[in-house]
Amino acid sequence: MDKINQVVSITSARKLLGKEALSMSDDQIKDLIFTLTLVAKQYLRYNSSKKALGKNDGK
Amino acid sequence: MMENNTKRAVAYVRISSLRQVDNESPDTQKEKIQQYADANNIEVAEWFYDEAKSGKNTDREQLQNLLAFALKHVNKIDYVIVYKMNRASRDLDSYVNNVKLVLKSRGITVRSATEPVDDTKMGRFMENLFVILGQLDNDGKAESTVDNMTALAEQGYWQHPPVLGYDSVKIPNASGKLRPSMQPNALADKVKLILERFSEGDITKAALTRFAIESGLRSRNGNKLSEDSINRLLKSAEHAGYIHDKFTNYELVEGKHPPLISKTTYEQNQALLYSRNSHKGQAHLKANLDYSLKGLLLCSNCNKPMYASAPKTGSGGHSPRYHCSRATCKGKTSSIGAKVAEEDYIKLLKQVKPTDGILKLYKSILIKEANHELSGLNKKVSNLRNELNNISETRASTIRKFVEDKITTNDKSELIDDLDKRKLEQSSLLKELEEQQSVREADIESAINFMEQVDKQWVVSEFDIQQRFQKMMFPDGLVYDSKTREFGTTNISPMYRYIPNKKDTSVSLKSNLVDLVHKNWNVILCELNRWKQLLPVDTTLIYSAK
Repeated sequence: MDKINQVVSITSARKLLGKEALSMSDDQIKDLIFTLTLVAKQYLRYNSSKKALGKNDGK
Repeated sequence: MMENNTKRAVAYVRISSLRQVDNESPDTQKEKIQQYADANNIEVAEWFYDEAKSGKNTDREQLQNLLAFALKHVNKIDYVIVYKMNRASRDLDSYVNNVKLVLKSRGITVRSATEPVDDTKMGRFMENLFVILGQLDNDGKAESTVDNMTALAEQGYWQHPPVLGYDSVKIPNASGKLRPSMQPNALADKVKLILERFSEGDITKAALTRFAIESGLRSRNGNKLSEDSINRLLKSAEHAGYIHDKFTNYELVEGKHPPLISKTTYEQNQALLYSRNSHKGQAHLKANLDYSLKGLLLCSNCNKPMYASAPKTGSGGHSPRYHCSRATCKGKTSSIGAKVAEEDYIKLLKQVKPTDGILKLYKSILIKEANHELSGLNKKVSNLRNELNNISETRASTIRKFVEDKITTNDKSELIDDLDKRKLEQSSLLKELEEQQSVREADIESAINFMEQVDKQWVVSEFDIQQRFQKMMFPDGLVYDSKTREFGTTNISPMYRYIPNKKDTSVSLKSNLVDLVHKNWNVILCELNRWKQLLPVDTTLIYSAK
């Protein structure tokens, strides 16, 4: 698995998450950031490979 | 009638081995003790004799009896007499604590018939000194015994009880002295059969154990062999003619005994044992991609995680399934195909929506990640451009050299061809990276839309992301009734909302639901409490896949 850096601080994450995050602990928020980072990485990787595939299909 | 100045004593005799003779035989010891007693006007009231007992501790029956006797006849016994101090003990700690101090507390002291031990300062010092000399002698003997055993093991002699299929035997060494070894016995052929059968690689240890029992192989004591015994048998290097023990530092040494199996068979068995064991370990560590819901699904009866396994089908294939095989759940729950459970779960996810908060956070992370990737891409693009410039410069310089007659036509053609090939490759790569360079707003929006569809997001996710997602959404797991195919949970993440569909709530009821809840809140609360008491597990039905 890729080495993941925490790209958003817990405080910033709490601000973005709003009142729903009040019941969540810092560890849970950290875990959420980590999971979403993995998803984002996966999406970007998936998107770029889709582009590459699309380009090849067009040829 | 005894004279007033006559002292009384108990005598202690010990031999460490029945073969102990020379000048330390029981008779010699008794004789010397008696001589000492007579010379010092001491009457020996009782004799205690330990036969074949080691002096390295005080756990000796007759020594303990002596202590008991002395304590019982307190004030009537003045001394304990031994032939030498090392007969009393060869370990200073246990001698002082368990003998000397015990006797001293009753006013009894120890005397040696052949050593200057008495109540003077020097006498007390000598008493301890002779015990410690015995200890030193013992340690020396132990060391030399280990050295001897190591030397014998390295020469290939077996110094332990024989392994299965062998009997103990003494064989002469080069100088004719007899040394311990083994020779095959009546069980040897059966042992050989078992070991060779395993090396074929198509039998488990359990099946091999049954095979061994059926073939009539028994332990040395005539007992039925267990799987552990078979395991030891398979690991034993002695059957391949090796010596392999602590005296060889567990290195394989060629033994003097005849092998029952070839060294190749032994090595093959070890490889099979090793591969089976390592495979076992991997199976536990490695995630099985067939079971993405393992750990998430809980049994509807016991509320514990469901098992995942793939029993053989009639057609010889395997059918991955979830089930609960705990004793409490037998007959109450049934197994369900992993694919069916997954489909039900995906249907459930269709009705789970992320909150705005999580989408905002995801957008922020996505932009940062995209920019991060972009900066990496920018670096790669810049490096590629530099490389292309270098190729162009080298090409120009090659042509210059050719014009100036510094290189031949052939060299020039070769170099130019090579440079052109490289240029083509790098240009194509550059074009690809430049296309990826632009992260458009539309890409981000499409990622957010995708994130909103939890079911699709889960389906396309890699295994570890699926696992993280489901743990995040349902931290306490998801109760799954494989009969009704209903899900329930006690806890859903505050970051996700479950939106009931028509199946869960009728349309007419849905339209009036808010009003009804307000009007009947107290009734609902009472009902909820009543159900909470009735239900064995505190779960809330959230979705029915049927």
